[in-house]
Amino acid sequence: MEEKVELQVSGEEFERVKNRVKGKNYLLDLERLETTLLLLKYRHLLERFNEVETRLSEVQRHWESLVEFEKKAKEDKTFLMEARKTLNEENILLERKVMGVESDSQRRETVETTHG
Amino acid sequence: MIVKGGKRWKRLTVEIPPEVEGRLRKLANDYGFTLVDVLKILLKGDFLENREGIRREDVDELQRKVFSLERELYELEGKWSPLKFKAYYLALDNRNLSIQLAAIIAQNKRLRKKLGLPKRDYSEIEGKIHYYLSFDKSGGEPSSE
Repeated sequence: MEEKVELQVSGEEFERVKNRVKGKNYLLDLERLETTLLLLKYRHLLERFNEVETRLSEVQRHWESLVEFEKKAKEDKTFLMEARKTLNEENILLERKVMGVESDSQRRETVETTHG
Repeated sequence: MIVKGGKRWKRLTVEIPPEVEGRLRKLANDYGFTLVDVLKILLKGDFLENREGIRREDVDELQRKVFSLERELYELEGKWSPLKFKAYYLALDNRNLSIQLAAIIAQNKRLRKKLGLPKRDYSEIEGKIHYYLSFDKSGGEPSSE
């Protein structure tokens, strides 16, 4: 190996490494190493899969409630605008009636005062 | 390579034959590990037993499933902000409409009373007014109708 790689291990591990290196056993373990890497990768992917699945179902739940809220808000906006229009028109009519009633009674008062 | 161990200074130099090094680099690359991690496992002999009979195809299949789920999640998260923005401004519009309507209803009640007309049923409108007036401007949805 051209580049220098440094490994820091505990005292106990150091003895284990020393023995394995001495007997050159480690060079025969490449198949076991590959199996280990395969299993580690599988475990890591499984963990990631569960993580993403949980997050996705959470986001989906929020998404559905947001879609529902947006739909309701849109319908409510139409309803509220319609109600504003209807009540505004009614208020203008009622206002006119009130004005009419008030000017009628004022006129009556004036007539009564003049004749009285 | 150099292995350092324990609290006391112990050092061991290990020569890795070039053909083994090539294989280790390939393994590290194939399974997404660093060369140091791979060397550590190999030298310490920390191997796992494949009791579940996991095969390379199982890993590839799981990898595909993870990618597909991640894509679904990112797509949904990407659509999230625009919809939240839209819903927020709709709720804000409804809040403003509710403020106007509260005044219009008060006026309607006053005029009807003055003219001796029967009371009108505002319950549906008032339910919505109450709902949107409790809308939290900081972005939260109203708690209940």
